[in-house]
Amino acid sequence: MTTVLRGALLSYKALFTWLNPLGYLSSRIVRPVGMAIAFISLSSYYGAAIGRMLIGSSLLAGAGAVIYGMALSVGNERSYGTLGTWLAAPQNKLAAACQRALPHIADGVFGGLWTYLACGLLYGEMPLGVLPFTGLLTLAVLTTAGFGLALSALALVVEDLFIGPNAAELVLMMLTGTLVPYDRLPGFLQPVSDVLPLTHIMAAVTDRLAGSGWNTRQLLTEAAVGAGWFVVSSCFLFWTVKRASHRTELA
Amino acid sequence: MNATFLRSAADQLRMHAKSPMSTFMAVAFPCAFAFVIRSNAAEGHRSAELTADLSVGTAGIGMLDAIIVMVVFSLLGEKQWKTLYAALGSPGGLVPVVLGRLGGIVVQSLIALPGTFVVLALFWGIDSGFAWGRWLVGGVLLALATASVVGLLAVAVLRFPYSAGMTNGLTGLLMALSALIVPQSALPGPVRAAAFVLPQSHVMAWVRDGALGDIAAAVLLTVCYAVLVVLLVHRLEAAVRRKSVPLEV
Amino acid sequence: MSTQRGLHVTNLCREFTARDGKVRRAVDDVSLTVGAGELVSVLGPNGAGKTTTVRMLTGLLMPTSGTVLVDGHDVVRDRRRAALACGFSLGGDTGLYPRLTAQQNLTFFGMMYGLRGKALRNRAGELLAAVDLQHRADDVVGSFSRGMKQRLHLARSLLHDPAVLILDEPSAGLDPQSAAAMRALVARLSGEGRSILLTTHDMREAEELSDRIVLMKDGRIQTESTASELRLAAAERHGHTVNVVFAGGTVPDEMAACPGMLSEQRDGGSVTLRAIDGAGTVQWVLTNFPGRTVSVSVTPPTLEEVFLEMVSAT
Repeated sequence: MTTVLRGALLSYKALFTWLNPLGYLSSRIVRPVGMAIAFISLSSYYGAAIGRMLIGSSLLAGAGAVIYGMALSVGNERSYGTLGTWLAAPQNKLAAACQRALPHIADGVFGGLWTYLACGLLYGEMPLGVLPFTGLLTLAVLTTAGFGLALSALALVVEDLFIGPNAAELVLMMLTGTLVPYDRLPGFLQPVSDVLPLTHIMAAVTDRLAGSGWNTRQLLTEAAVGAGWFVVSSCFLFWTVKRASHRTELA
Repeated sequence: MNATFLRSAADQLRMHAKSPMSTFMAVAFPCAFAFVIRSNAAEGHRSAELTADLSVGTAGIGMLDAIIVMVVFSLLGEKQWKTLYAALGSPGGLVPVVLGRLGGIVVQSLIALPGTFVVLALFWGIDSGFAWGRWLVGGVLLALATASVVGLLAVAVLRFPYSAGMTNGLTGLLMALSALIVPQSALPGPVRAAAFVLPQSHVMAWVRDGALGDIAAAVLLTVCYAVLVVLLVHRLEAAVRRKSVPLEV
Repeated sequence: MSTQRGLHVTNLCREFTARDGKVRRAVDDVSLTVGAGELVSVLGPNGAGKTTTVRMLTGLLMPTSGTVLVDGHDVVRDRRRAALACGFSLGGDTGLYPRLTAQQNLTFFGMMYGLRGKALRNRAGELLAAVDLQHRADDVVGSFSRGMKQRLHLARSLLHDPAVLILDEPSAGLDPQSAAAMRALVARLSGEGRSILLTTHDMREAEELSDRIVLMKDGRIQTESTASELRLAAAERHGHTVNVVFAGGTVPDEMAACPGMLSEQRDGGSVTLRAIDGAGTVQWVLTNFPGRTVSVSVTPPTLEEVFLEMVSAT
């Protein structure tokens, strides 16, 4: 266990480019709050309740930390010219990618919680208690990690490091019910939304904010979506590792 | 000075104009935001046709992202190739090169204005009262205002190692402070006060049927930020020469 | 698994398909062997296929055809074992994590090779000392000079104590002192019984360290031999260089009649000539100019000349 954590922390220090005071402050503290302010203001300007948007923005903050972190944790191997060494090493790449995800999962929980608290104070409203929100957030970052694994794999074959996570963040923003209510999505996009992380958590949140209890079925579905993404992403990772060996430019 | 500035701007366009990341940030990213805006507007039962302010605000998000991304790409590239020392050793120093890059980036970011307009107009149609003049003038001013503010980031990227991560924070922060999505009045108190010092918020106020005073404030603030950027680049030059601050990654 | 120790490459080929569908063969039917305790250098101009070959030997690139056995393990079919038997250093300014210290770099890379805990700590410390970086163990690698990075690359490649070592231009970009230290280090590793394949542009390095030299061009092996055999073979084709210094500061006119002379160049009392039969030329000079000859030396072509001859041959 110590070895796993030590490896995870070393990977975080080695490969997470934003691990410096300004970079961290900017990407993990300022950005999510800034984005959340923009969206919550949008919601309140158009006369809607801000609670759902506050929760959605905060969950997105956590998910964003995971998807960018997981993409960087593999993609930066290329930036530092170490990708070849990593690919040639006998280490199990799936296990390594999961190990490298750990600090970003923790980062996601921290970033999401910070966004929730900061915006809650700014707008004077906290639609869910801190504990239930933290529980939801933890589930959200874990299911997003399954999705993020696909981005780790994609970073092996796509040289532009930020295309994957940027596109993924857009998809999560638009299609998961965090910023755009599920029932406002065009019909053909709803099935896509169903298989994305965060969607079912937001469905449970919407029910809860409407006065119902916690919708356990939705939360379990969310966990299943995360597990599904993990399986699919693992297969994708195996394929991309194999494909990377067929190419010549690794550094 | 002028020749170097123009050359630098032209090179910026030559090297980065086709960057997929820049186009993605300038067009796809803001359109996604527009989708979020429109969906929420519809939920609040307000009009959500493509108006000039929605179009300029959406383009502004694209410009903001594209400018930030291009500043980082462009200047990190210079640091990696160690070309900044040659610029520093030239008679004009770093200023015309940095300003030239920013100038090229402004031109590049302008694609967001027609790019997002076409996409959004195709989806939603154009509002009959669309203010074309405010759309065009506001859009161009917004690009200049955004570049002058992001110029501060350029100095940070040049000055500090591993500073690329700062770009993220700027996007979130400036998006909130620029009143691109909603009017300044819809922002929470402390944020509203901070928005006042950004030229973008004044540009957007003018686009949203504001008075000439708004445009004057926007121009004045844009010039102030540009001057500040020049002063900071001069200061950086002095630091490099006196304290051997590295200009490379 | 084969019982063959060292590195065995048979009929290795690698093709790349360009966007227009054109197939380019970067490595063409390369076969070579590096036995246990042997050091073989691969020389070739840029684009000769050395790097592509190295990438295939290290498992970084799949061959189009052919086999590579690293200590008996096939790099394609038994990749994990082959990786454990093979250490490689691609050198250069990148390839290390600039934000980690030297010690942390070795720890992180060691974990990739299954090393853990105290054994890994000790191994990293041992290797840092071996490459003379123990005093910089806790400094971040981003602050290292090129020479220090090259040494750390070498330490990294040795973490799992591999039987086969592949070094891609280990002394490229180093100052003469650092390059000499690197050569000494490589010689020591070779003396420990490892099979080492070295690619280099430094002829002196190749000649000083190698048991055998492989010359590559256009993806193919042109020739393979010891350095001295290569030079002597070249001498048979292009002659030896004979330098004669005469007393009195002038070269006798009769020197022009030297049999078998291919070319001559005079400089005051010294003449440098190229002749097929080096020993015969020396004998002729001593016979014809007794008492007037101050010194005579004969040398076969240098390895650099052999290399340039191969490169310029169509």
